[in-house]
Amino acid sequence: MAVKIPRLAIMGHPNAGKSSVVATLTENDQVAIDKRAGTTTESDVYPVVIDGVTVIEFIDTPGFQNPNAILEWFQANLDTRDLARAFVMAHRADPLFAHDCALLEPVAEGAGIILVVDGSKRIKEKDRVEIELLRLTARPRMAILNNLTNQDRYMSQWQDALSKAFNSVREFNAHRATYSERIKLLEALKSIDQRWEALLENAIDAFKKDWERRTDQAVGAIIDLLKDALSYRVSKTVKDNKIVFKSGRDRVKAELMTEFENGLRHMEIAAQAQIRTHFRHNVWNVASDSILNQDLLSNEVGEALGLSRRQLALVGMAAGAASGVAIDLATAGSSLGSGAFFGAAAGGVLGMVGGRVLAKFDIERAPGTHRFTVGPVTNPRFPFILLDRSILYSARAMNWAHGRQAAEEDAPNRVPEKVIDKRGFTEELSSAEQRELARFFSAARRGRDLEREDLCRTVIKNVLRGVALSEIDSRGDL
Amino acid sequence: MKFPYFSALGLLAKRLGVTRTEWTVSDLIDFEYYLEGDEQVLREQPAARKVLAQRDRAFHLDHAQNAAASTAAPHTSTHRRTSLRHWLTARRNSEDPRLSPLLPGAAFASAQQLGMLVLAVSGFLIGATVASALLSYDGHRPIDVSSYILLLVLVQFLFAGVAVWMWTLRSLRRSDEVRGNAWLLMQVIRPLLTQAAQWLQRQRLGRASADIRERALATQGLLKSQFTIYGPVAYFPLLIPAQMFGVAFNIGAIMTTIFLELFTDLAFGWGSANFHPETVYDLAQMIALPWSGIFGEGVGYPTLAQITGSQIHLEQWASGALVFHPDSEHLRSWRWFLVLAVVTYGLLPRLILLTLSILMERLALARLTFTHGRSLALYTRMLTPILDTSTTVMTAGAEMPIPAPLLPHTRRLGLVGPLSTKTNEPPTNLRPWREKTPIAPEPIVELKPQPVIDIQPKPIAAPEPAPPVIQFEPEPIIKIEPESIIEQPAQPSFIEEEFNLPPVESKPIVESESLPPVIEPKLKSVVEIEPEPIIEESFQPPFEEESNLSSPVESIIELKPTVELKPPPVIESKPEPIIEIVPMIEPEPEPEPIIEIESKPIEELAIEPVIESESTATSPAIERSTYFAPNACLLLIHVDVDDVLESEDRPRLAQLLLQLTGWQIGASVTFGAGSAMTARALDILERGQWQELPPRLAVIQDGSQPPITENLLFLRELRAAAGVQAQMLLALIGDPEDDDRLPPLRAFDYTDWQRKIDQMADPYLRLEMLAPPSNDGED
Repeated sequence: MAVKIPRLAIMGHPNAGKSSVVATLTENDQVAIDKRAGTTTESDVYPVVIDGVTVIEFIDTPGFQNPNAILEWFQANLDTRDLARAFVMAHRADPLFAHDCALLEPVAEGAGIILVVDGSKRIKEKDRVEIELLRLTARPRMAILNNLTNQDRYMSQWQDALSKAFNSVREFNAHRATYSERIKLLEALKSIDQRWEALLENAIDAFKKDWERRTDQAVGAIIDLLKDALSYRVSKTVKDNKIVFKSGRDRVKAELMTEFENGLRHMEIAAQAQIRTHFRHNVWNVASDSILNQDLLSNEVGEALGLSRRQLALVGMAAGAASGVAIDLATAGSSLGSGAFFGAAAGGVLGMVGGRVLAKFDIERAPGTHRFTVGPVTNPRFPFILLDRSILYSARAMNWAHGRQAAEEDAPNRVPEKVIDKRGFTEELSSAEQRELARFFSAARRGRDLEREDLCRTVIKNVLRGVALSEIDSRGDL
Repeated sequence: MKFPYFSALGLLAKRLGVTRTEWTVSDLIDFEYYLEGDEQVLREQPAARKVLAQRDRAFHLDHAQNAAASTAAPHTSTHRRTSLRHWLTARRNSEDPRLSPLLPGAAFASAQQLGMLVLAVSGFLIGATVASALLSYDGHRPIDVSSYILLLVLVQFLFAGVAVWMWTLRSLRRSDEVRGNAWLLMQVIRPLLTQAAQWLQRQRLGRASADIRERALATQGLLKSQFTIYGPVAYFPLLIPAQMFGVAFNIGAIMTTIFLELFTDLAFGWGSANFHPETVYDLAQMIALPWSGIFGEGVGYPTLAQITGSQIHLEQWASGALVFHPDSEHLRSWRWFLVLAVVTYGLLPRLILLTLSILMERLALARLTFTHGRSLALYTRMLTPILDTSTTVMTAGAEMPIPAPLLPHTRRLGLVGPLSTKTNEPPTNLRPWREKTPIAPEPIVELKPQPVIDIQPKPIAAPEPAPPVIQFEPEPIIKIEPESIIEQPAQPSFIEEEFNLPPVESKPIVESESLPPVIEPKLKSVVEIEPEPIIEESFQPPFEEESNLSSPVESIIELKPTVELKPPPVIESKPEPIIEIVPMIEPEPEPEPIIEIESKPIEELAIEPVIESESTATSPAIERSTYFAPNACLLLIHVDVDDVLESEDRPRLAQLLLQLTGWQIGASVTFGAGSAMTARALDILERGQWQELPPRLAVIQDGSQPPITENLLFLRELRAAAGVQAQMLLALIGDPEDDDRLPPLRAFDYTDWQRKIDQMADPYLRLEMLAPPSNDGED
């Protein structure tokens, strides 16, 4: 290979968030990030390997331990050609400089520098010293203003101080960086050394394609979930003597309903696990008040997601599926001696989504036995809610920076949550798209071979893509 | 039954490395079979995604990239087709060779072969039977041409016509009608083929090992389920055998007819009262139109006379054969007409349809876009580079180094001065940002610019100011000197450094090169022997050497302001000491005399407040350096803290310190911005006059940043300078805020520091938070 691969040493003093930046850039939440100072004590290499060929290496370095001494040594040896190398050579043996040597070593070997500073804090002496000494290394360098808070009063000071000594300065929140921000940061790396352009381009392209593939996979998982959930049914054959009394019958119904609902929940959880794997999250925590932590069939979820009543009606009519649904609904009501069913429904939220019956309930009589069947889902709202939640989940997975695992969610200056906008993703689609989805749902309900699938795939993919590129609000607050 | 030649062909192709890029139906079936298998794996264990991605990418890189890249750009359908085809080949090759003939595709192909053969044979036999039945001649009544024509020509022709019409219709209306129109194919031939395929597989499985058998059986269902996914492509494999049957049927019929005509004596006739021979002639001529050019009248079709002659009149036959003797030539004249008619209207359309079916199948296969979900997923897997940000679990490296204790009264040369021993090259502007940020109170602000400004203009005025300086100096300086003499040796590097500075910063002094040597003597003289006479002496050499004049003069000039300033500090107790020290570090470039001189008076001044507060016994004149009362301490403030402190914070700082330790501030000094500053601090410490030993040190540091070796090293240096038993307090503050520049430290940061300080194992070092932690929600 003609050009040496770009090696980028992520530097900064302890706790500036170096490891978070590496984790986010390489989407690797296995990077150990500790809130304690000086967690990274060796220069760990995080290569980006494309088809077995390393294209970039990020080197997570320990923090400076003796910046003042290094600066003074540099200043005293200004005539030395390669300061970093000379320093490492001179101090390798000194245990006190072990960290400093470890972190300067990659620089000595020609790595570019990414300085990570905490933009929320004021500039301290040490920062100035580090900026100056990195300037003296004369390596291609870039600075990342990692600001995990909404404290931005020092940002312009930082910009001033950094731009004097660095080829480029970028703001980057390692805990909230989205896909697009990550790509932009990688793009910016090109500017610090032109020779790397082709390789970085390559890497960026690979990242993009990888992302595309993941999006596809997520969409696939969502579509499969919808298909499975909509054609799901549970049945149970009961001997006549067990349901002589109404209570026995009700119990069977309730059991069946619970089983049905749990089945749906499990499907969703399985799909979520898939989506999470696609986006490479091993560590995961969702804010406890998130709608994702609520029960799938709860009222809160039903209210927050899915289509509005009006949209639903319009979509239903246009899709022509509504008639079927209406009939299903009617039969659901009548076929089970409505009283009992609605009794059960009134007792809890069971079986109701958005105030309507969740699924069809059937009883087939055979000599000596009754066969109870719940499903498939007939509630016209439910698929939209399920889809919304899946998209929300995917959006969270996409935009959950990998460096966030150690984020202190209760830190004092954290970014305030946005005003809550309780609108689902599907609600914002065009009515044509909504209709398309509704048609797909009704086909899925009947377990048909699905010609609509591709169209829906496109619709969902567009939403996810929009989320990734921040064109569509990812509803981080839901 | 088995068709070894088929698999043999496949094997041959494989062995020759022939990579076909064309798709066949059996390829499609295998393709779907593999896709389904992958899908299954993914569904069961989503983690397998990575493995699949790697495998598919590897296949792509190995096989497809070279071949496909040359023909088409990625994401075109050509590229997709060829890439996927290569993938299939690779998948098949990686299969257990024993299983490859059992793949559904191969099974299907065999089934198709078998089906075609069966259909062809049965077609031939049926054709032959029908023809021989129609041509049964008992020697009495001639064979009725019309029934032959009707059955073998007209009906067949109609069939072909209907087939063509349906095709056209289908191609016009596309998808929806397929199922209805292809009823025969779908309901009869397809199950037939499927059954055949299953039967074949079972036959082979009988000899296969158990696990292969299990796998193959599991795939049987696929054959059925995947049959319709490819639309028209699924339709042709059924149509072609049907056409084969038609062709075979015709061949059978024709061959039988020819055979019978050649080897038996057949008489043909026609009988109809409704038709006039001329009408029949016209009809025959019309039918024979296609071949009349080659086989004309009399050969290709009978002449009018022959037709008239071959007419069968029922009454003639009834009345008795002997009466009527038709011309045998006339009766035979129909035979080639019949053969040609079947060839033209039976065989030919079937052949055309067969060819068309085969062509259309090829076309449909060639048109496959492979855009359905699963194949796209595969294609994406193939095209997407494997991105690996290897998840190496980080091994914990060595902890932050904890510096070992230093021997008393030694310093780490490496850290105090420049680390190298090089002295000739002075460090250029050490900390440009320090000069720009004068945060100290006003008097200092005035002070700082002066040295800088003064240096250049004043060389001319130099001689005169000298005397006043001398006047001022006596009081403080005389007292200081002894100490300085003692301690000077300890800081050789420091002095060197400062020598190096002047030439660089005060460039107007052209004589810079000659300066160092000259200054050295001066310095020593000034520092060591500062009594007035000596100072005068020291000044004299400069007078002689004009070039050197300037620097000493400057120093003298500067003395004035400092001296003037000193009075106010005396009144304001705390700020000044800090103020005085800060400028010293920055004007390092200035020749030593000034610095030395300045620092000492300042220290003395700093003592004064302390003294005032405690005992008014004015001993400053007697004390050689900073005097520390029994409850006074040396306050060391990190520059980060010092930078943000405002004048009103200093009393509060004193107050907090008092609360924490009961100490007053005897003197204060900053540290943290370079070794020069550290040296200064240590200097003051070492020169301190402690009324009550051991010394007391209070270090104020911003604890919101985690401790680094540098911080600990400084503590070690303090310890070395102050003595083993000196009381040291490290008081941490939090990140300064606007309304509170001395905020309490977060408990988290505190424990961080505590851990490191504990490791230093210094029993006389105390770690505290300067401000008490806020009571709310401390963890």
